[in-house]
Amino acid sequence: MIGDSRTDDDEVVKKVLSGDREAYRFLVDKYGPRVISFCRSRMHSEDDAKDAAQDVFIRAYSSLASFRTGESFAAWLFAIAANHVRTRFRIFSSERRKTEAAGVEVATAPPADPVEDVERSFRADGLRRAVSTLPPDMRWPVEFYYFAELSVAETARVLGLGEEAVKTRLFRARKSLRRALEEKQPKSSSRGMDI
Amino acid sequence: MMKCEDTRSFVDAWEVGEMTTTCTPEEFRMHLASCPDCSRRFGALLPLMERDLDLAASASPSPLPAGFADDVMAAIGSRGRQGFVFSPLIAAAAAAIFVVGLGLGIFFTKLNSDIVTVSFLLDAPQAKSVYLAGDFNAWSGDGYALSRVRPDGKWEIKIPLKKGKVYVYNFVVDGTKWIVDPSVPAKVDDGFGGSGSLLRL
Repeated sequence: MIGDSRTDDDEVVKKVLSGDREAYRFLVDKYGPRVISFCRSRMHSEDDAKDAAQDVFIRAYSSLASFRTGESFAAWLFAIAANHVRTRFRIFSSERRKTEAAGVEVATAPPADPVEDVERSFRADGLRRAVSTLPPDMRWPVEFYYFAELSVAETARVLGLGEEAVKTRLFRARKSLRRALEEKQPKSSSRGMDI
Repeated sequence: MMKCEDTRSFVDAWEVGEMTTTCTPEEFRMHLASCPDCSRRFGALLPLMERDLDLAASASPSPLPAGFADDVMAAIGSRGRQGFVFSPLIAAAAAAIFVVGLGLGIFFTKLNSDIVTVSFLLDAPQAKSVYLAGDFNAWSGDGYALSRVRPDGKWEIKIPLKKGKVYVYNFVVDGTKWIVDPSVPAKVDDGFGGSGSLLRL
């Protein structure tokens, strides 16, 4: 990366606000993967995460005038993302409950082979599932720091905490995640025997 | 050659925020690739370790899904003369709010030269809850709760805002309905099929 990231972001924001709408693409390209990864931690599918991430960028564009140059664009952007996924997840959950209450089966992935399912849960989705079980005071720091790749300082700013508090919560979260993942470890490493 | 007990030491050290010298991250990853037990036990933690070691930053960034940026740019481009701060048309409308708002749903109290207290009012007799969400609170749909101030269903909240800026906001009624301020005529498309009310201070 060339130059200071924060300075680059500031320059781009100034360009966009002065009428160069296309300059906004730089920010979408730069932060898009991280915003999708962050949204994925709260959404039920890649498509939902992608849609939510696009909404975040559109909403951020609408609010761009409220961004103060010299501050972290990433922290500002992910504060919007956090509020968006929280609202969207709540609406999604509400719709899902209504659908289930109506006796309509919600579309889900077809049941997988049990052994494959265990492996998938530990490899692809295991981490997200484990993170989703964390209490909010640990879950948000994990999502900001690990999934959105904010620094400790940026995470602290978004959450309104001190940096030491963020570090403490990350430490507790690492312990909890390791314990949660190890408790789900099958007793045997064997894939089983055909009988 | 790394052993299983070495991987546990490696994870122990990571857990407390340190990195052990018993092996390198690459050796750890190679061991996971060849040991199903350790892979199942610790594999899910690998992305977190890579993040702590700044390996994620040095790796090739994940590509955006095809069309992702194009869709975003198309969405903001379809909104006409966006950039409400700089569009003369919108700026004029926003300036009008300052005047019109005084007599309708928004009231101002000067605190000092930079901050004013703004009172947001909404007439919603059927609502069970009303929140104020805007760029001033990062669009939190459950952050600024309005209080029912009159039996006839008038809701209100007072918040301090900085002068010299343009704000966009919605009322969130009963948790799911995002509406514009009916007392304010100037709006911007919020990109979600709705609109946001404009407030210039």
